[in-house]
Amino acid sequence: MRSEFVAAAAALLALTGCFNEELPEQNLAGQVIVPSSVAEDSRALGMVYIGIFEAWDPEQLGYSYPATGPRIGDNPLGDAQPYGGTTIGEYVYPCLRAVQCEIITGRYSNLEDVLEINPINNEDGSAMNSEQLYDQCQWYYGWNSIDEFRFVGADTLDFKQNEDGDWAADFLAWHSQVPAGAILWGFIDNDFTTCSEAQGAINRRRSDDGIFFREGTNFADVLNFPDKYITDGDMVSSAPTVIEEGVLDGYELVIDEVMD
Amino acid sequence: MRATLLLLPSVLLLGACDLDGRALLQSYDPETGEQRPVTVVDLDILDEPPVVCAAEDVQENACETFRGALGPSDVGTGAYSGSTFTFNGTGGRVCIIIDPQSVWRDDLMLDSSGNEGTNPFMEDFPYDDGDLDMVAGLAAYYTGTPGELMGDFVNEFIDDNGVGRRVDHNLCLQEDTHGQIGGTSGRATPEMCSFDTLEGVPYRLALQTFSVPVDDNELRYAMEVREGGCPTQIDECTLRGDRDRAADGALPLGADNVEDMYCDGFPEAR
Repeated sequence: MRSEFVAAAAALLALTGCFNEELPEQNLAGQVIVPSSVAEDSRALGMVYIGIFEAWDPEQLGYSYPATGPRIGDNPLGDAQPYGGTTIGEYVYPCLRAVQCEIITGRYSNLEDVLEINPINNEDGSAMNSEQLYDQCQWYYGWNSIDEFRFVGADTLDFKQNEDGDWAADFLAWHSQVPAGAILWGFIDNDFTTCSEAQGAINRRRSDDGIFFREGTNFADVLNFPDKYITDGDMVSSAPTVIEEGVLDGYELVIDEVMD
Repeated sequence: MRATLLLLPSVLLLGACDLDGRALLQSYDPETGEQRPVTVVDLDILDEPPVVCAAEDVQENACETFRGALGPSDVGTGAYSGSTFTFNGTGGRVCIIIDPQSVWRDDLMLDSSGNEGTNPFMEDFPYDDGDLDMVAGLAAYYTGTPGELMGDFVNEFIDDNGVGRRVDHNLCLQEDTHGQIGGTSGRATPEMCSFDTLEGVPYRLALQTFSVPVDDNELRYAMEVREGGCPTQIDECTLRGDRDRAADGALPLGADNVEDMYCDGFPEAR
């Protein structure tokens, strides 16, 4: 009886090995490089958007930009129709509306870092210290340990300096179409124009303070219409990286051109 | 043997789970126990089809509002009730406004200065409201068949990398509350959009029933296609006639229907 059961279980397991959905979507992995010549401090880097696009067209807008799809009616210029993409970092509500939409995960080792790059004033005009920010987050989120803070942590930093002294961060674009000849292109939104204060989770202390607001998150169409959000001070990749047949890992995308 | 005894009541219990959920569908007809077929109307072949309102008439507020009625959709299967209207491009901008039955909040009304306030004699009655959505574009891109099958303007193409892509040729673009394209209004709330047209080229407007009023399964609507751009704002009173006539005495102070009551107040109080 036991041997029959084992045989049946083995057959079932073997069957799962035969199952292949044959989806055209694949995960694409690589690294984004930001030269130290354009970014002295990785803590000041905004959200990084990486997209896989049909082609590259530096002529259309006068700067490095993906080729755009058919333009329909009043659609704004630049519908780049990505095959897929991802970000490095994500917007997180930093417990205070004063810096809403300005804090990104993976940039800060500790609360002192957060306050150094994003100084916050208390109601009496004095500078907020890390203990006060901790208390605020403890109240807002109920976090009771610094390990629970989503936007700080030395082991969760996205960017690390490589041997050339440049900033390097790994990325993984889930479930994307990756035909040979397509391109990787990306930009860094350093002034947070991609964040919508009117979207995201509702104030989770609303029942306490009676104030309705949303915590903020990125707009949904950033990779479709990057030009809507690229402003002075942002960085774009001056040249794209071309996808090769059957290669799903090890890509490198350099984001090195500061917009002005 | 014991296992069989346990299995039998389980199977019987499972049988009790065989509920018929069709009664929850908007197209379900409780009298026949069947789902009503969708209604697809080709407005172009009506005896009195809609017309594009000329710019002069728009200026003088003299546009002729088209009023129609549609049956329920089977949203789950993608079979929509709806209507289509084909018109030639003017060479300029065209504005489309629709208003589905009837009033979003029956417990509100406009005062003499046009501000919305409370209607002290009414409670909200959402069961006479429905939702109608619209898409429009070049008639050549329309995927449905007027009078037979509702469609949209989503087409496919193969890009330079050999990847099949979808492209939406809908020109009737509305912004949602976050300024993102792709929004539609909800229950009983009017919608509008405008777009540039090529002169003499056929364009098609497709109205799709999203939901019908629960009280009679028939969605009345008002529609205008106008030369020129759209007004800055529209409201329930921009187009009139998207309502049922109430039974005598059903509404307070001599009101004939909820839309007149919302827009004009009560006859007996005037």
